[in-house]
Amino acid sequence: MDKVKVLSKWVSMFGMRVPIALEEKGVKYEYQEEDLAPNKSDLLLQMNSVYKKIPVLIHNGQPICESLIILQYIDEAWDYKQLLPINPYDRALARFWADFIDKKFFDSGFRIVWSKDKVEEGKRDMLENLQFLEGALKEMSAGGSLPFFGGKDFGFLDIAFIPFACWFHIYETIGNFKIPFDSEYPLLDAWVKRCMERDSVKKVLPSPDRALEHILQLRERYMVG
Amino acid sequence: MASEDQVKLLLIRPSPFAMSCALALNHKGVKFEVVEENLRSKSELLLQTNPVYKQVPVLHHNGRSISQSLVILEYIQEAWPDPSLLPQTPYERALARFWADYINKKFLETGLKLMKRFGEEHETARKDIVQQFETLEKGMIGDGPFFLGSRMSLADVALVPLVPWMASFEALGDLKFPDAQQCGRMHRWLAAMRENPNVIASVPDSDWLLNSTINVRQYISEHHPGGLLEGGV
Repeated sequence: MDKVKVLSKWVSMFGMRVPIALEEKGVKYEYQEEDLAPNKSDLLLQMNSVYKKIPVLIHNGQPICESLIILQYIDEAWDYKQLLPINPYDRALARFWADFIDKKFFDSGFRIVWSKDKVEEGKRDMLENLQFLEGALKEMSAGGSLPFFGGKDFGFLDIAFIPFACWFHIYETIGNFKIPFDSEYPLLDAWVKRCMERDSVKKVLPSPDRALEHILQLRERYMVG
Repeated sequence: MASEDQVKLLLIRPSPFAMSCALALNHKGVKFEVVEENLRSKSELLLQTNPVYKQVPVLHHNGRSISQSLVILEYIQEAWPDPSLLPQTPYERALARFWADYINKKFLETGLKLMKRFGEEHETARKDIVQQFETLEKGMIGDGPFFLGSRMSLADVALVPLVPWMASFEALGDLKFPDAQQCGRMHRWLAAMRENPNVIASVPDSDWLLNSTINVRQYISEHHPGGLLEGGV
């Protein structure tokens, strides 16, 4: 009998990836909500002693850390309905763009939300990063004729990016701008709406308003001046 | 894969990430052409095939290009599956990936900061790199000599730059890594890697690298006094 436990935070876009993937695979799991330091659980500190961060997947007592590595683990441990494409080049594309999301896209958003002096450059970079992702989606969906980054099927890269859908409202509010989805990123716009209809995504993503309220409270508490 | 495979690796010789890609290819017995780039004057080929980052290394395989070293390593593993650089079980594979990722984004990044940054950032990098060396010691599994055991994996491939770079890190940081008494597993790893023919074929000479590194740091201190943030020179 498989024991699967997820340590995560409801508002974390990295955290959300894990339950979405498990839901897609139909795997039963226990969810444990983690708090910020200094209230991180002993279990988290033990299971991820290197980074002490969520998400962590604990499968029959063994911990797996780092959200994209967890997604690949889930794909291999429950190897039906594959999340990654079949051929090496398509898999490389999916990994490349997931890495881009984690490095470039996340970083531009982070500057908008948590910096004082880098908000404008964060906004500029985010718009440029969305341009790249729109291009990637166009390539991977055969010009928009297929529904997902994964082509016909909702997959690894879709799961990697969809949690950001509830963060756009946060970026726009704090950055005081509107992301021009209609005019500049129409494929991404349609893709978000399509993904939001999936049971796994509906179950896991918080409402943008609830996420915004939480982040504003955190900013109040942690940002000085 | 067909013997007609056309494989090219765009790189600069000191790049730690390029060394890892070269080792993965050599481990798999893949013949490839090395294309040396000049990062102060990037080639059309580099700019076209890595438009997002405009960085090395880039792998070209039969007309398709892949960039970002861990993505390249996973591609090499999957395009030429034998001999494998990943263990059999999903859990051990996750471990190999976890450590390769840690080595890339923490350990090697800190090493590059030792070369490119000054002042307080440099001080922090000096302390971090020793701590990270100790984290790697604790992370290694079993008796080795490789990271996860008796066979090479992506974790070892990611860490191979330490073999030629160790002297440079110590010089740049004016530090000494823990010795074989304190970090026996790391030193056994280093010994095993140093005598591995695929490793020898994949990394530059340590003295050459030390010289090159000192020159680069000198160049940065003269032309970018605040330290270099991104990219190579």
